[in-house]
Amino acid sequence: MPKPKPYARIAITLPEKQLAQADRLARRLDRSRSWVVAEAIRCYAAAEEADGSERALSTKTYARTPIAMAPGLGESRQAQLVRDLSLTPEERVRVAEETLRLSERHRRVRRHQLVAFDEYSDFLDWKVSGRLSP
Amino acid sequence: MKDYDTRVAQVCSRLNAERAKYIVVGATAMQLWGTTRATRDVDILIEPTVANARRVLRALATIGFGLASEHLAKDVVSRAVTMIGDMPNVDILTRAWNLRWTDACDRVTTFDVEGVPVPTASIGDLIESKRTGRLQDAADIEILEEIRRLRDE
Repeated sequence: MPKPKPYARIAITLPEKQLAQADRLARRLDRSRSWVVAEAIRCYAAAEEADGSERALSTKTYARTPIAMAPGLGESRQAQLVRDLSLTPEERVRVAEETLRLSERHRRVRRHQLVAFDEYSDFLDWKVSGRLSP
Repeated sequence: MKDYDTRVAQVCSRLNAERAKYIVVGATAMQLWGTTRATRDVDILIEPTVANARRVLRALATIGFGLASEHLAKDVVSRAVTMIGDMPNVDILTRAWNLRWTDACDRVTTFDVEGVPVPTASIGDLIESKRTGRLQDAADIEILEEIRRLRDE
């Protein structure tokens, strides 16, 4: 008997904003758009099952639901890692800082701030919700 | 005071001068182990004592983190995270998710950046610090595991 296929192809309709967010995440994580959507559903379902209440939709959901990653990196990320490892630690730091300098070139706002968090999970919430963090 | 090109050398040189007990974690530690992923932060996990927090604040106050001098060491110790500055930004951690100073301090690797010793968390400890369930951290774990595999080859 043939094995059932582990994947199904479907057509779904998404708001443009969420689609753009999914594409940005996919690029950043070197994953497919499908993987991002599947991962979001998996996290949502896991949180629902774990909590059984609307609290599962709170901003702390991610902290309670470990993500099961498909093994292996994308080809481009893997090739990048091999290139990165051929550099010295100091060279890697310099490359990363140059990348940041280029990306920050048009950033207008500079703040001097001191922010404290009692719990590490509060710090993660803040990173997710309020900050443009690489 | 000597100027450094990189933020991590600038920050660590001052922390070392004050004999602060700290370990670099987060994305900067990932750079030292094997990636060129950019980050705005230098994350340091510190020994959570008032005396050490005082050394850390004193060090940061000398390199443009003026607010550090106004902050109390005991407040740093009582909190999980204290962020100072913007660009660069230093996150002072008394715990990195489940990773604590006492867990990590015996497994430090020291890298050299611009002649400055940079005590850095082990790859295994970095992975533990990223078991938050956050998507970015899950992706970082994959990268760290691949770095470990490639370095062992």
